[in-house]
Amino acid sequence: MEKQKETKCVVWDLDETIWDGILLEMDAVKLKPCIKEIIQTLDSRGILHSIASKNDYDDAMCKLKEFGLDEYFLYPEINWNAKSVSIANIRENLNIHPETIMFVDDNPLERDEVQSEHPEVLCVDASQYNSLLDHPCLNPRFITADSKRRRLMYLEDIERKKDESEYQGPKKEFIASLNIHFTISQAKEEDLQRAEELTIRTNQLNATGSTYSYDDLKMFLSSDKHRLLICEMKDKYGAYGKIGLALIEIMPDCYHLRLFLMSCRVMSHGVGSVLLSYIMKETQKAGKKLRADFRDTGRNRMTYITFMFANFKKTESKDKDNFILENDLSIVQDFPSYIDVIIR
Amino acid sequence: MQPSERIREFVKKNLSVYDDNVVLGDDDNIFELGFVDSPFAIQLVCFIEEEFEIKVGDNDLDIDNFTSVNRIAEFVSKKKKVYEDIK
Repeated sequence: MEKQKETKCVVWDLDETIWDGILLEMDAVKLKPCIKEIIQTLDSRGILHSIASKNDYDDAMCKLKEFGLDEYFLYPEINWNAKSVSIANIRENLNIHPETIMFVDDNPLERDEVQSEHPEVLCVDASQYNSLLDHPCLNPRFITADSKRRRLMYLEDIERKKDESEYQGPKKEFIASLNIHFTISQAKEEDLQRAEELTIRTNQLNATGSTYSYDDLKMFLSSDKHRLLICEMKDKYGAYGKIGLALIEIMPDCYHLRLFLMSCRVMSHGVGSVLLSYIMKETQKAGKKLRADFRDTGRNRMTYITFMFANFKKTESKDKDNFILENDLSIVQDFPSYIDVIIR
Repeated sequence: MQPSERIREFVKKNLSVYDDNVVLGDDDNIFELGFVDSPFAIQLVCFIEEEFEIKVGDNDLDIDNFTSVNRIAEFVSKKKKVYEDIK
């Protein structure tokens, strides 16, 4: 049995969950004791918050503002939809997997409705809210600089998406206007907490889905048979922090990519392909072949497409879902002009 | 519109070309003209699947099927034919 995934987002009901009382019936609802501190603490752990509540949007947001809580919730769903629909919308907007969502509601009917549509969502009775800070799914092993800034990074992303959807004209012009700086560097010890976190949190752009602990990764730093690369990105909306990781094992005749992942927050920037290009160039320089481990996790088809379009071919396979890709390096693309690629 | 025209339009709109003045010919190598990044690749696969109502399977994901407008058009018509034959 796989252990329960870390929660990336807590979706809250409002009436009788965040506050005592029903807003439609009385304006003077009162926050549950300590609820604000709980939300703030989870936020500082890098856990996001959202809302699925059947209420009038403006009234509810106004009330949250009064309580000083409105800024904590991303993509709040305050409407008369079934809550399973709200959860689906939040999931899609945040681009996260249902098993990383926790839904807190006082009403067992609502929890059942969500559960029946989304069996992987963790549904929690609101009466348990006081013990949430100790919940194993809400206690990430490390709290990194990236996790602390996570909500702000999502807010920057909302801004960016809005501009993109309003932008008329070629995609390249829009991307060029973002002023993207993408840095590839050798990982250092201070990067390892974030590196471990990336292996745990990243699913869609992940070649193997394997997780590596801090200590595993530390071993690779001191090994002269390995290179651990970590990537950072910023654009005009702000810094995305450390968002990509690759582990290369240096073999006598080839570089073997053991790990390759990129946070889904930067998926639309195409920097995964830039990192692959860099690794291909490095392999060419070393005069070696390039191979890569790949495991079909059922969620990483995008990574498969990325590798195939970088001219990787499937070779031997250990089993149906595990195989090794090989690249003859006959096509190695230059970095695009609109991304400033910095190699450290 | 012919499939190749629709494909050319898509590539023109979505490919980030290295040289802005370049004219895209149907036999030109897409991978030489522009940076084929993962969003482009994913959008292209989705575009082909939706626009031509075919399924791009894992074994179809060979770069040779996608190097030019004509190659993509050939791939599409080959896949379409397989569907017709099954019917």
